[in-house]
Amino acid sequence: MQQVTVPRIGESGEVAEAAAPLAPARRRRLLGVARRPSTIIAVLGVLLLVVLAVAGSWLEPHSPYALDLSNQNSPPTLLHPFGTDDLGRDLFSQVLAGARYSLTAVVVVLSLALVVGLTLGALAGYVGGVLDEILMRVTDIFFAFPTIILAMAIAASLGTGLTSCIVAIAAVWWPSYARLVRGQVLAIKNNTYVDAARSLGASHLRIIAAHILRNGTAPVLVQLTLDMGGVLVTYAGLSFLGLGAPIGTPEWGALTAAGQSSLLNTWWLSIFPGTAIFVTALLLNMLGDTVQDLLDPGAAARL
Amino acid sequence: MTVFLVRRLGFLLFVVFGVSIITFVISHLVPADPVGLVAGKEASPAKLALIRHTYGLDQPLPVQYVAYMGHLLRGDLGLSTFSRRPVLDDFLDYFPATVELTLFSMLLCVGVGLPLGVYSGLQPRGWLDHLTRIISVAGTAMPLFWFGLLLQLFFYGQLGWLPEAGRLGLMQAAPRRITGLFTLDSLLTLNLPALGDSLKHLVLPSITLAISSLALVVRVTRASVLDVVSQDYVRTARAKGVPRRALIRRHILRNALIPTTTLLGLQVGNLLSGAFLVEVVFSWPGIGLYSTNTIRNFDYQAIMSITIIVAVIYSLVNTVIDLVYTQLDPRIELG
Repeated sequence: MQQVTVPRIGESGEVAEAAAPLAPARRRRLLGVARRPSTIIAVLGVLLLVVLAVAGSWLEPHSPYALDLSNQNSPPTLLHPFGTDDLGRDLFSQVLAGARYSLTAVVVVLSLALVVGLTLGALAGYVGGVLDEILMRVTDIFFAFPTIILAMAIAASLGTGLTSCIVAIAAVWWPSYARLVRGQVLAIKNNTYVDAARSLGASHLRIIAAHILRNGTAPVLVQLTLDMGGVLVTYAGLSFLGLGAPIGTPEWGALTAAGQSSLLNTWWLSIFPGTAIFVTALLLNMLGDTVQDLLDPGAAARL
Repeated sequence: MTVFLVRRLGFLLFVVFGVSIITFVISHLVPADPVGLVAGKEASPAKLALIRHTYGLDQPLPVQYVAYMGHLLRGDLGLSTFSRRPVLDDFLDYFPATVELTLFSMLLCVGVGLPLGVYSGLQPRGWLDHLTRIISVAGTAMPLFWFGLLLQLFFYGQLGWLPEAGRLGLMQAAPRRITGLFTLDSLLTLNLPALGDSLKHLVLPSITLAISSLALVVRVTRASVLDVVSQDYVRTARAKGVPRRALIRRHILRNALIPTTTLLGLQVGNLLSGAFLVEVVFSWPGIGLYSTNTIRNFDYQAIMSITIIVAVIYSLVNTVIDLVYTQLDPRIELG
């Protein structure tokens, strides 16, 4: 947010410069969005999640790996608010520990997808020609696979495990970022100020860095925040299918799968981790909607 | 029109070709040595080399790819190392179940989602609209497998109204196979007990699968209706005195449903993906369950072949939808 200096003519005619605040309309809109209950819930909720994920190991009442064979499969009690599993491990601590896995996965997947997509998309959009055609065709082919199937195939080939899942989901997600960035670069490339910069002798790199990236990033940021919930649910889904964490890891999808076979007797084993996934995805989606309203308010209406 | 058709089909061929390349590349990411898997642990190096030569794995990659494409084009999708049957046969056994599930979920999406979206768009801020907004926000964040488990727990565990898993009860024999879709087959053979039983088994899985697509359909339809209602031509029609029902049908719906049609086309992919999770939850014997089992058994041949088949089918469906779509919306330019 910049301050604009506006020259003011004083009573005795001197010209003094005073700083004018941010344009009133924009500030009104920002405050309007900030005051909405959904925004407050989303921001506070996600902050809370991050705190829980980072500080989890100090907050958990028991260790998520501590066995308590005298207390197996117990329903929720005061001592174990989410109950225990078949080896007596406290589910509440496991769910808390799982927050770390999930949020880390979301961050890493989207970072990977963004880096690959940004680089390829910017290059294709800026250079154009054959490079652009190739990128478009490659992304077309990636889009021909339904999401989970491609992710499953990659994760299965790389060997099951959390890193394979992360790589697999990133491999599925990068094409949409490449296309988005390419579109942005194409749109901005043709603007007059880019022509002006080039005529002043700016190098290609400078044009990309200073003008294109700075002005084109809003939709990419919006897409990133909107995708967070989806990545989380996909990641949990892959783990649920057995492609992610090995048994015993307190990862939400794996925990849900572990409780499935005894669902009617020990419902808490599947329901609580699943609820954690749902609530987190919900909060992330709400945050994404908020960011969208802030950065690109027309998009929500535009669909 | 024919130019468009030819171009679209050409694109389809290109995509199928690309899909085979990507699947081939992925199948070579496998860290485990596939020859070792086939030969067993105590195989001598000479035996390993022999097996490698028999399968052509000692050839350079492009040569391997050409051989692979040759097999694919002949319909040979390899043998499942687990079931010892051709993967194509396994696929044809399991696929109808997935089709049935996906079809019913799509029906739910359209049958429930469209009216809900339209009515809440026509009456914003009414109670229906609030309900719809809650469904649409919750549905898009919903992990399908958790929702399915919840439904199972409640409607089977607590209430006992609906069955827990599978396509038919233990006592019910499957109808005579015509299409593989139990509902259709029992209808065609007038097998009413089988029809009732298979419908009962379809309820929970299709609701589970439909929920996130339904949420999206509702959201898009509602926004689209809201947008159309504020247009000038609607205002003109209302001023002319067009009766409400005709107004809705002729002016509002016809235009508002265009984005929804596009979305429904996209949802086929989401439904296919979601089917994998739902089938595992409800032990539904479709390709989702089959794929999950093949992965657990390290049956790489089957995994890769299924991936290709599903991608090709998905591309085919998308092509058909695109062609239908150009018929519906005259504004789309052809070619």
